[in-house]
Amino acid sequence: MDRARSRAVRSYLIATTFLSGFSVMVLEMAAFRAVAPYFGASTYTWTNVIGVILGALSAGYFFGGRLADKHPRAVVLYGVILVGGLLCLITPLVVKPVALLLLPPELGLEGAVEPVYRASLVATLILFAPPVLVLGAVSPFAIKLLATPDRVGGASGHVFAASTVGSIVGTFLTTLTLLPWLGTRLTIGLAGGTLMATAVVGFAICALSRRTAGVGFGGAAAAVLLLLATGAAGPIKDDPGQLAEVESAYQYLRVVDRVVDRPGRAGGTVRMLQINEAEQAYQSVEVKGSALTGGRYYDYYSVLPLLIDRDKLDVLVIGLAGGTIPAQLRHFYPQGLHVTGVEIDPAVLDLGRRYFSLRDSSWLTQKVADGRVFLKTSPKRPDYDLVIIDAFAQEYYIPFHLATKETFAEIRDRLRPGGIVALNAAAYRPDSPLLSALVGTVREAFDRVYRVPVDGYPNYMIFAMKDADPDFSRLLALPTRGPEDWEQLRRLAKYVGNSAAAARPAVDGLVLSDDRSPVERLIDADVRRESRALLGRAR
Amino acid sequence: MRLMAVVLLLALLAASGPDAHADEVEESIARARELMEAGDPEGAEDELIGLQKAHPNDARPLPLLAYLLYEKLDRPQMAAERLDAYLRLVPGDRYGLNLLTTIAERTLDTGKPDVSRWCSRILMEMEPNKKEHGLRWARASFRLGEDLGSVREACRALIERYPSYDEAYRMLARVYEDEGKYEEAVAVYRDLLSEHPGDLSARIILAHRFLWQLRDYDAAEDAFRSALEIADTRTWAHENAQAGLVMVEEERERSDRIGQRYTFLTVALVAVLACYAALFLLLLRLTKTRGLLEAGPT
Repeated sequence: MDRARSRAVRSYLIATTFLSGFSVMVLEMAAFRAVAPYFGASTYTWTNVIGVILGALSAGYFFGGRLADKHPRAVVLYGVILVGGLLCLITPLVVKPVALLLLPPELGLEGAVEPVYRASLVATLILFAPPVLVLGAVSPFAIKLLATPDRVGGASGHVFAASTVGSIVGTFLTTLTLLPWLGTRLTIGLAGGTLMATAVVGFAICALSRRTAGVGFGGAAAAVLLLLATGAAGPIKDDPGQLAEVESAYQYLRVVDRVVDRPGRAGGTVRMLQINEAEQAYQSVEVKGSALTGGRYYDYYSVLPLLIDRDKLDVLVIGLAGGTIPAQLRHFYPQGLHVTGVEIDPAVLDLGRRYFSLRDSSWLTQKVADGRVFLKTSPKRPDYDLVIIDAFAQEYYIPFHLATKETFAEIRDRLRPGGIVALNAAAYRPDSPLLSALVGTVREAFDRVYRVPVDGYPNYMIFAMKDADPDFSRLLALPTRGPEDWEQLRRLAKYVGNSAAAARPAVDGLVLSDDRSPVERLIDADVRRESRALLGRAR
Repeated sequence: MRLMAVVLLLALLAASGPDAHADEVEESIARARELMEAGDPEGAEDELIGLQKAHPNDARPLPLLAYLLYEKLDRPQMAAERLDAYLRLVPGDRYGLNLLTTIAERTLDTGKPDVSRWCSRILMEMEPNKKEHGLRWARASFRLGEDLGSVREACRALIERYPSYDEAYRMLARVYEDEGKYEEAVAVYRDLLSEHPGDLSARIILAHRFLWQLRDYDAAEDAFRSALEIADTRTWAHENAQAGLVMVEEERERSDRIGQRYTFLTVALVAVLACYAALFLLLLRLTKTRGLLEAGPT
């Protein structure tokens, strides 16, 4: 048995387990970000990534232990690490082709949900299970090499401790530094490079020979080439109309121009700010040549000021994104308008300024903050006439902490009498569990809640007025004006006036609270129901 | 002397009889009207309420009081209650019915559907042959978001009594849709179309329900085609139906693509798992040692 006896060798073995633990966590943290642009960042994707990686680690431990018993030599260990490093370096280069092979775009949101679960599972198995499986062999192998008959426990403890500390360092470093600075692909490449370097040094320290020198040199060369290829890789996604893509600390973002030529939809060029897989959703929209967005839910928010009896309008938008809502409000109600917009991701604001109508101006105050933190830390005064929640995490999830009864109570305190709170919910049917839950939750703070289906889109606008009932007659008899966008708004106002109905929660409906707000589960249930209906139709 | 005393007594009795009462009421009403027109609706209200207390069985102050309460003081519920009292005293009065109908209609859209529903219920009793009151009651109840079961029953009753009343069908369908019961809604639209085969709006809505909610592409296509057959070209209906046919085809293709993709992914998953199984078997063979359970004494 080839046991590492020198102090340097033993120390390096401990360091090896640290670096291996570090690399595994970097890989795991980055894996989720690597698949998010193609499969989204839902709980299903998370579950697949974590489950597959844990499974691969388990298999790695099992086979690593057997391999260590059969070939207890350091050269084998570092050979295994070299293979793991190579696999890591290859992964960023094949994520995109594998993802697009498994799930090409344009299945639509509800069409993709069911396949996405399988696709993300298959992708994770192909892309991340192999390197993690290999790296799982490191710890048992290191224990085998370090342990003496009377110090197995100590050796195991050292290895597990070093590996875990490495994992902790990898976790924090990845989130706080590597992903924001390097992006996902280079972060994975860094993990691979670390492993390659570990293997090469390991060969030199523990098992230097002509063969190992050759292998190490070859591995180093391959690592450099693969890293260069990763650095030179093209965009994460490429669409003909893509203008920009950014990996922010929170998500993958892109700006894309699409030419809409769908029957039943307002046509023309539509600029969208999208996040992650963006099968169908968008965080900001601008339609070239129009103040409105072609009947999307944003337009419905522009109708609400007609219900408010004030000369000036103070608006709070939680989820500012690229500034679609303030731009529309400014267009239709320029007199006395002030908007405070809150956005958690500064990269989104940056894209908004560069590609949308978001501007620094006296009538728009932009705040970088979590919407709930903003509510908690801002003065508890009735400063607003209109509060709009347009914040979304991942593609279509309302952040759970922005959809609770406590949140709406805080919003109510900030509304003037006769003021309105409004939000948009993705729902395919009026009996959607999410709609029911949101209605019931808003009703905890407001007497009557109204719901308007967004015509032609799987959305509903939910709104409530503080201490008053909305006078829908204001929406039904607006005078005809010349400009086309005002005509569109007038028709939309009439539709809203005729369609708005007081909404009821389900009899046993859930009220979302800070303690329990399963927004993702509710949305997924609705989208998956629609997806299964589509699949059932297809089979 | 005795004769003069009798004449005088008779004159006194005449002065305090029904005619005098009538003059007092009319004068008070006139005063209230003047106050209202002078911009003092509260004063007018006080005048009329005082009059009502003094002559509780006199219906004459009630219409003006109701008008005042609704138009000048924005108290539609109280106005409606006065009209209800008035119409029970003077059944069938056209002015009272018209004013109550106006209140019912306007409050439906001005955020007071509860008042509208209340008024409509009264009107349904007083004018049972006017189907519009029943429909308005249903619409107001729907706006209130309560008791959809009663709304459905009311719509069904209207349909049974007035089989050609298309608005009742639409209201019923809307209730079903709000409950997510699209099969039932589609059945209602079909009933509507059997009564009004030329109703393009209903035909196109039906087609959309088949397409988007029921995912019955064949039925959607049939509905859009039937709309095309009867719609004039270059009308909204014609364009919508044409666009609908395109959407049906697109959705069919998308649905097929999704199904194929799902099958492909299932096969891919099985294949990947099979590869891993084979790999594990190979690794087991390559790393074969004495098993842990067969280890010798420590």
